[in-house]
Amino acid sequence: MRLDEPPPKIVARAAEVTDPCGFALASPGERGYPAPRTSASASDANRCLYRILGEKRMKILCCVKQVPEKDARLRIAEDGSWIVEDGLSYAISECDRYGVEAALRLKEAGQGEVVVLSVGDGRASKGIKEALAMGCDRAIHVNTAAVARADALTIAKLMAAAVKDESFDVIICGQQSDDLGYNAVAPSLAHYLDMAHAQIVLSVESIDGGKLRVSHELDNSLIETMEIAMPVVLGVQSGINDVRYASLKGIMGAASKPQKKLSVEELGFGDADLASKIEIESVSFPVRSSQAEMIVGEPAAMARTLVQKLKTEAKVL
Amino acid sequence: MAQGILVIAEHRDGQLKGMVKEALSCATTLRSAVGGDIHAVVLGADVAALATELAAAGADKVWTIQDPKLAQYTPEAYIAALQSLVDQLQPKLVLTGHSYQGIDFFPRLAASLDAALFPDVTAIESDDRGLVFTRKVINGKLDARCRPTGHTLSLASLQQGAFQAGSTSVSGSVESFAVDLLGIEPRNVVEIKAADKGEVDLSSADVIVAGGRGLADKDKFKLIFQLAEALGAAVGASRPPCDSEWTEHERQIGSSGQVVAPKLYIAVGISGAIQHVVGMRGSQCVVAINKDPNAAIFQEASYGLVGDLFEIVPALIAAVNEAKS
Repeated sequence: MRLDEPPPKIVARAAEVTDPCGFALASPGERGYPAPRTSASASDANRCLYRILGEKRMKILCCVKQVPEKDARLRIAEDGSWIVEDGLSYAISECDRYGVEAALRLKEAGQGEVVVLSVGDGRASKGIKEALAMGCDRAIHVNTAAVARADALTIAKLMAAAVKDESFDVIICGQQSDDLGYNAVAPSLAHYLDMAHAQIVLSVESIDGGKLRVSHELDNSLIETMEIAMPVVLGVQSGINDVRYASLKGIMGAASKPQKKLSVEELGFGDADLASKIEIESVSFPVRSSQAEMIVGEPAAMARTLVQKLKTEAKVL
Repeated sequence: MAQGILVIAEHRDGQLKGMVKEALSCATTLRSAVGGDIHAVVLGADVAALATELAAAGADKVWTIQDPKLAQYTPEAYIAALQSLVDQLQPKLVLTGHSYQGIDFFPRLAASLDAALFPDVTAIESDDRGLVFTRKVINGKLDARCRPTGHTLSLASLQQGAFQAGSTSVSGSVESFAVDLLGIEPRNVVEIKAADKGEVDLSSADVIVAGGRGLADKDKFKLIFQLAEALGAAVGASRPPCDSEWTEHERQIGSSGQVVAPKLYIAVGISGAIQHVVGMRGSQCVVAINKDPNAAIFQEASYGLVGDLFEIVPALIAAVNEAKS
């Protein structure tokens, strides 16, 4: 992240109207979107077609997950295998919120459609509703709790199955979820869909030739800028834009937007396909390191004790 | 039967990343549990010198994969090359650092190998049922012990600083591994540049007061400045206050910001995500103030105060002023 100025905002610039790709004209698919991908070349032809016609429609997917709210007080279940979920409130995972905003901005810079995808049981409906209220056009809800604690690859495989016939140009995920925290869904989803990818993305803009200019973070505060041909899956970092609030109109309109509910059976996933490659055996609160001394009491007493200890014990004041 | 461990060595500007030695040290402790050799691989256009260094750092066998298409890191070329090597070696475990580069290519490598992926691992143990990987979940608040469910290849990316780099007397051999990257078209990298450091240099400060999400808003973040003023300290922050523009981005401490090592570091309303912790771990004395007794920041603290920071910080300002007078 840049240190001297606000983080780069997601910007998007429409591609030039003319595009010298030599595909023959064909009639547009229903609602003006490319027909489902039958082969890579047919899909490419459709994409070029829309640029030739000046429509520049971009088909964008954003993916959201419901996670326990950040300041939730956690309790470990009796069998030690996971937290007690009853009574927790859930919200869209932080990076995913920035992803929804990034998707909406990419659409607004040109033309297109933003679809929101969520995998989860009834809890996922709340996140979908919020994303629709923010401005997503329609939703896909894979209604299952089967992969709630699965490994990233199994989750990504199920997501891929749910969207593979849609031929998205850009798929935006949060780079990491606040619960399982794998940092891994975007790159593995890209593998299953045979798309390019980038992780820890800070900015994205549409440039000529069906490409995106993408900047992402590397270690040591380095920022790498790349040109990647669509279709592409991006895992976005938090803080990259100002996430909008849903307007009253958006909230009112959300209920009437199309929502496709899919079951794992409909996606052809059996128990073997849903079996996680890793198993969480137990969870525990980390053992506090031995040197940490907890100072207790009323605020004023704690403060005085601390100052005393910093002076005489730690000798740092 | 798969055996052996492969360590993927990340490097930049002709230097191995510090995490490489941590991963080799981790591999060494697992040597008898996993069986077989410890392999390391380094990819690039010219990596002979790095390979020599790896051979002296605990790897039995160092593989170099050299190709013009690997001169610059791209996931396309890296994954294709690494997949060939893993297919050839058939290791049981592949390790790399959970760096931003690791986060970019490792999950996709795991998917293409159909492996069990363990990201951001803080410990690996073995028992009679095999390897157990510990990783953080729920924003770093909990440790989860995880196992692979089948007899598959396991890929683990290791959290920076979680494994101690060790010394070794092993001297390994170096061999080149040929890959065919003809069909690979790496993306066009336009530029790599350093994020500007700005004018706030926290690296020389003796005392730093840093605020986090717990400060709640821009107005309340001023409390951090007030405490810093009383202490004659510099002001830092974790990521959320910078993202929300409660304070300047140049005050961010952590993997995306500055790395500091003051005598005294006071973390106020900071949960202690690893991305922040790597930026302040070198501090001599850490005070953590947080309402959540389970916040990860207490792992790093010399002194911990659990409670409402909006009561504790004003009390602390008063106590500091009282001590001065």
